[in-house]
Amino acid sequence: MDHRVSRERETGDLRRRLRGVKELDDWWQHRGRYFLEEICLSSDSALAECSAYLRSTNLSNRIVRVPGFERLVHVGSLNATLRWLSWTSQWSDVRRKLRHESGVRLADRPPGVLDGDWLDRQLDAVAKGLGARGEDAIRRVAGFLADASGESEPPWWACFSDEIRGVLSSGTAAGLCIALGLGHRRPGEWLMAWEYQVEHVEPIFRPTVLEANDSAYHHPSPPGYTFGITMPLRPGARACREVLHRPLRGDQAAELCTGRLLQVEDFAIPDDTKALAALRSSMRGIFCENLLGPVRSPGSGAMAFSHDETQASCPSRPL
Amino acid sequence: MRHKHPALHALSDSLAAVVAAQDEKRLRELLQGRALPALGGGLPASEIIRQALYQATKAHSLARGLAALLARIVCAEAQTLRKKRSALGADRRRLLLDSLRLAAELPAQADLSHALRDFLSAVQHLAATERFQLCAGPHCLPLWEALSYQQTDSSLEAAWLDLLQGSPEGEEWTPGRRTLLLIAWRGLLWIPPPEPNPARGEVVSFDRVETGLLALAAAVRGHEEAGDLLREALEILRDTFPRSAEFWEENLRPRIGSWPEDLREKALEVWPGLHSHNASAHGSGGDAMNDLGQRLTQEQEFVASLRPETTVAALNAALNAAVDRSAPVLSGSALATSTCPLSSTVRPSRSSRTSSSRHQGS
Repeated sequence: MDHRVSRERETGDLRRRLRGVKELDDWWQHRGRYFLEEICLSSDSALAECSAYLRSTNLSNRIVRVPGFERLVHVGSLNATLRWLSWTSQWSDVRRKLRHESGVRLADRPPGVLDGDWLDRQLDAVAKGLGARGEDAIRRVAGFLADASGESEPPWWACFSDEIRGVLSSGTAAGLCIALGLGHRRPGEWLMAWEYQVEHVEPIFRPTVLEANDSAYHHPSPPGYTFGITMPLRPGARACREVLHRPLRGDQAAELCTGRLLQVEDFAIPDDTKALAALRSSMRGIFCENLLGPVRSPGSGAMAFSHDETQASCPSRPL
Repeated sequence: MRHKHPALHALSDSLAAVVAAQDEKRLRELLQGRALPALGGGLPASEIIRQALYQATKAHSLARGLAALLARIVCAEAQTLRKKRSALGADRRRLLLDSLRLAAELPAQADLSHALRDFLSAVQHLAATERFQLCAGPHCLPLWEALSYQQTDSSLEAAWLDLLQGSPEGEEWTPGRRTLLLIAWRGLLWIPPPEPNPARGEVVSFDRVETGLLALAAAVRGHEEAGDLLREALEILRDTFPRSAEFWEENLRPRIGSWPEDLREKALEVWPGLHSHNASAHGSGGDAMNDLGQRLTQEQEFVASLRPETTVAALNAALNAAVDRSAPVLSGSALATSTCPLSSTVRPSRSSRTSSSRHQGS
């Protein structure tokens, strides 16, 4: 498994879901099921049926030394969110809200029409309509979609805003994808971003492969390292620390959205086995650069790395 | 698809091999999340398969082949469900949900359509809690969505109208209910015309459209979202059958006068050309009123000329005709006795030929 998954978690809810695994395909099937049935649950830790990342078996991944005023950024895909919502009971209300805010109606795919990009093309028009109406309209939609996503939304992934400030203000979505390792986003998709303080979403957690589901673009952070770490999509690009937390909801989700929609430009995504393998091996160099080099603490400098973290699994000289 | 993905391309080749070998077991495994590429983003199996389908060079024939195999899977699951009548495991629920989502993406085929209707009848025998778990909510939305896209005949007409009307006790007004209403409305509109295609190009059944619209208007009346839902329904109607504004105005003009005000208002928003007629129909002493008065007089004279026993016989005949017209109604006992025709082979489908010619003409 992953060194970040505790023994208690392995022998607890995970073993329960992985019972019956005999071969590799069983593993993938059961892992997917674990994600859907143990991670895609409420992020309200007061509930018995809360998401597995909030349970006591994952306490070892809770991050406690980050001040509440530290700022985080979460990037979500409008396209992915709406495709997901199109399978839910909320779909009629979502369409109505989008129409009110953007002035554009989402038309149904007619029967018999095979068109893989139907919804994406409709969303282009909606996104442009929202853009024309301004940031407040985008924020209202962001808040509405966050609420509509409901209790089965998995935790949000976020990085520290200081570490991507330049990319965030540059207004290029491809830059965000590269920095944050969003290799599963596709050119043409529309991204939304939220920027907020840690205290809005506490507690925050170090991610594991279980929350990453089956993403080939997630790389475990090394033992002893407090945070997750992004796998940038370009060799030599700077990695960011990343964390997990509950999704924003209600007015907060609207107010803390940046109010901008960015369309992912056409850029080369490392999506074949060879490119991915190269990217993954380059992570070792990134660990060394980030953990042994002169690392700038995010934000005010209040966060520092412990001796343990700086010694984490790197050779004495960079590869 | 906008973006070609090597992993999806490989999966699309696998799907073609699955279809060529008629390998139902392998498709079942894929739908359960086995042997799928690691794309990230928490995508369900059906979505990964959908994306791979569109990477294929011959997406249409691959989709038809997948629909035939999927029909067998849905059929087998319906039979299991009927026999078991107990809680389904998580793997099976996931398989079914992904099968339904995939079915909604594929072109309509009679075998898959029949299998889904069989599944619907099996689901209706489940206890409410079981049904809730299996169908991802109280309304079985994924199943109705799949059925709306997989229609090859008019057998679901009564079911769509039932959904639009709701129960006599009324339905809880929830987002799920609103979504279901629009699915039912689309389902009603997407009923293919009878075979052979009507020679006079009567693809749009205005009687059916009007019945559905009136039911929908009654279902939404008094709710905050009513106006938006009615307008959306009329725009779905307009999108479903691409016709000129004059076509709609000409065909709706004789009907709109008897519609409730909320529905009429929305129709006037969508087809402003209906305005002039509407004003005269409701003005005092207009031609339309005179025409209506004349028709009423003629009907009263006709009724007065009938002897009592003739009237009863005429009514019975009309009722029988109505029952005959809706013979393949899929509700209640008709659903309960429905069985899946698929055993070990998939028959070439007659309706699959007609599905490609749907909504043409006129």
